[in-house]
Amino acid sequence: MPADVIRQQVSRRFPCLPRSMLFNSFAFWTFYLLLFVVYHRLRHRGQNVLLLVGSYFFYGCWDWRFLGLILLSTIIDYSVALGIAASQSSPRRRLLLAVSIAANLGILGFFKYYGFFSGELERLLTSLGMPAMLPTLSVVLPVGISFYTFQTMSYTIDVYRGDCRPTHRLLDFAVYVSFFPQLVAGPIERASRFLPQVLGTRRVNEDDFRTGLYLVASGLFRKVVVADNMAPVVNAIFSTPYGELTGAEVLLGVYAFAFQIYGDFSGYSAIARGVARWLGFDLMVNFRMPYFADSPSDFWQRWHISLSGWLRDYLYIPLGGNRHGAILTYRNLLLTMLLGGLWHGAAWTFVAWGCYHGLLLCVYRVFDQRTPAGERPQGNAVHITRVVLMFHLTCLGWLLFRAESLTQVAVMLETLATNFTMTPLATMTAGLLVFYAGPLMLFEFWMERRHEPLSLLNVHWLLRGMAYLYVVYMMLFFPPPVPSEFIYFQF
Amino acid sequence: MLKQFIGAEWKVLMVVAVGLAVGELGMRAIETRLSIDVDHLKNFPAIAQALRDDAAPDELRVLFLGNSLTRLGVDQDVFKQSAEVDGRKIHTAKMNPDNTALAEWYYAFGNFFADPQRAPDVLIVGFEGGHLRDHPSRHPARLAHYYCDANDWQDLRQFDLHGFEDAAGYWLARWSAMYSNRDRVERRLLDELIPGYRDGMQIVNQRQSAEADQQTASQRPTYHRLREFIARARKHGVRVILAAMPIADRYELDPELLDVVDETGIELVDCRDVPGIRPEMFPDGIHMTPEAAERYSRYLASVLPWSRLMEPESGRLTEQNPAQAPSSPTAATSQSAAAATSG
Repeated sequence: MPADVIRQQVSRRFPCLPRSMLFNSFAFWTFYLLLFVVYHRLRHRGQNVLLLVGSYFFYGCWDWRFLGLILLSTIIDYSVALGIAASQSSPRRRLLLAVSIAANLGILGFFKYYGFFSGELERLLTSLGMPAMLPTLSVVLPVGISFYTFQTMSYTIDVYRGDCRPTHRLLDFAVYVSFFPQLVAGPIERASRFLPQVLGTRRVNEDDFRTGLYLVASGLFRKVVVADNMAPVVNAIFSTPYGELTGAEVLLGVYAFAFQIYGDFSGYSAIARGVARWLGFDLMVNFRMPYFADSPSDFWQRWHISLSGWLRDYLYIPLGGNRHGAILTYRNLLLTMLLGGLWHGAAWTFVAWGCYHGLLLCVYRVFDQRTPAGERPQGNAVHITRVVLMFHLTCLGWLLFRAESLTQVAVMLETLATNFTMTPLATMTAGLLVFYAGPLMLFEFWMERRHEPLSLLNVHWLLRGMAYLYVVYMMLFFPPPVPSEFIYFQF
Repeated sequence: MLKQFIGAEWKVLMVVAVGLAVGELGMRAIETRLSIDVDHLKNFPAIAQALRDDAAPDELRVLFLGNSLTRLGVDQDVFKQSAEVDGRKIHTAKMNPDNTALAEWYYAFGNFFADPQRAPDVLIVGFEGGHLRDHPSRHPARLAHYYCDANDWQDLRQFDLHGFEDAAGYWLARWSAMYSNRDRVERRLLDELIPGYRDGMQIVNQRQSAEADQQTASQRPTYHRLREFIARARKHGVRVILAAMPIADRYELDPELLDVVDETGIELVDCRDVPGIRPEMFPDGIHMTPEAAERYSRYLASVLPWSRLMEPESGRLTEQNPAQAPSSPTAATSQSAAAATSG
């Protein structure tokens, strides 16, 4: 019986089973509450068994057919890491590492890039007068595959490098790979940081509750209030036929997308960190007020930190980093960012987005290195100008990222430059940006000034209570017209 | 353990809990002032009671069920005057919650009028386009708070609540006036606070519905709920009239709807083209001006098959399979069917 048919029958027979586990859903919080209650009554071993079962259930709610892929990745990397640690022979260790990387990238490549590359190859051959009929497969992208693939790869690489000791406990390693809070959209944890938390006993205290509550509230606000309320406007603007848009609509549509993607992704990361914290885990910070960055390199130290750190440590530095002269450094930067773009999706717009950020980093490096530290302009005005400029450069990147095609990018840029008319849609978008994203930016500005991302935990409890009440009321009274999935699940 | 875990942060949680409780109480206190529609929803029991108590024994009790089209399009006084020309006596009532369709009317009728004591003699359901098609309610939270009770659970699961999220939201809305009215608060606040909100949102909605229309264009509509609705009405001896109301742009009637009409023998009155009503009498393209409402009400009263309506409902005798009770189509039904087929 085909898997789709089984899936439909299961869902018809058990309509109460959730069909997905979004952090902003009743299903997730019911699941989490049950798990939380049982979890804290168990000892360490039982907790890990529960986490594994819970994580597989969580993932199975998306699509149980792809649980096999997680199991496969888990078993391959578990075995390979043990093999690497047990071997004294360098060629054998290298071979084992190559097996792990090939298996992981093979799975990722097949599910994520086969359709794109076969289509592009077919088009190329046809344009060269050699029409080819490559086998076409309608491959469904397993949710979160890019995240857990990178996470398991980092484990074998770290073991190979000697940065991490392999574990003999398959159960614990399986928890490391499939830990549900960060399974489908990160943060991409490193084994050296996260595996010891799985292996060791965990205790939770008042501080974990306070921090977790703050992270969950902040994440839900970002996702439900900011991102999901921007989504319909962004979709409307980006799906408008080219000739019907005005420059103001394009500009505000791109701004809206900037806050949609930020709210969506940073919201997910914050909720993941919060719910993990309540289980005794400390996940890494993934976002640090990125729209207050004042340079491209600063931006990448604040945006999707777990991915940019991964690309730096496992791609940029092995390529040579900045150790072999200027030309090779620029090549490495471009290559790293290009692959970072491709990681987000199989489309030319993502490649262009990666190249664009690579170029920004190169250009910034040129200017940065030519100006001695003492001669750089200082002061608040300069800093604000740099932040505003960097925000707009980032927005230009988001246009590449969100557009359906490069043609759409070109047309929207042309519209922006030639027909800047305010329309009711543009006016409303500006208003919604101020209403939804404005308070978030003010809050982040306050945190940025204090250099403390958890500043709210240090204010009086009444003030904090009022802040959470504001979040709850905003979620209650300003639900999105259509609840959206998290954007980064598709990567 | 939980006490240690939460620690001093219970004070923060208490602020949130107290804030929500105050909000809920406040909402319950002001909900009827929030919009005319909430006031109307809260009045359902009173409307039903009045139809029962105020109608004289020799009066035909007529209930208009619909949405804002009915609210603005049916002038009860004009209808009554026109209908009583031939000496018959009628008593009318209107139930017209805004932005609703059969998904809401089904429960409104079921819970407030499907009762031997309160059932009207004639139920005129005013609709246009896809109002009668099978479609989950767009306002499950309002269903929970204003329309439904525990007995509706099976119908809700069949027609409106698909999955855990819908069910959880439904139960939350059942207990919370804040939750069930949140879309009204949102619209009202954003209307006040965001310049150009209404116009901008109309553009967003148009683009979204254009995409949705493309997706559903290939699917044929179904009318299972309408059949159930007719069955329920017949069970209580109610004559159901479907009135296809006029709007600025003429619409077609689904062949599937005409099948239901033919199979159940229900009356369908085609008022899509009412003499004297012109497109400019619909300022927003949908709702009638008072002048158009007067003409529509008079026309409706004139085309209703009164002689048949004054007879006892034969459906009472066929309760085993009421929706299937055959009856020959009325002139109005035949006329509309022919018009739709030729159109």
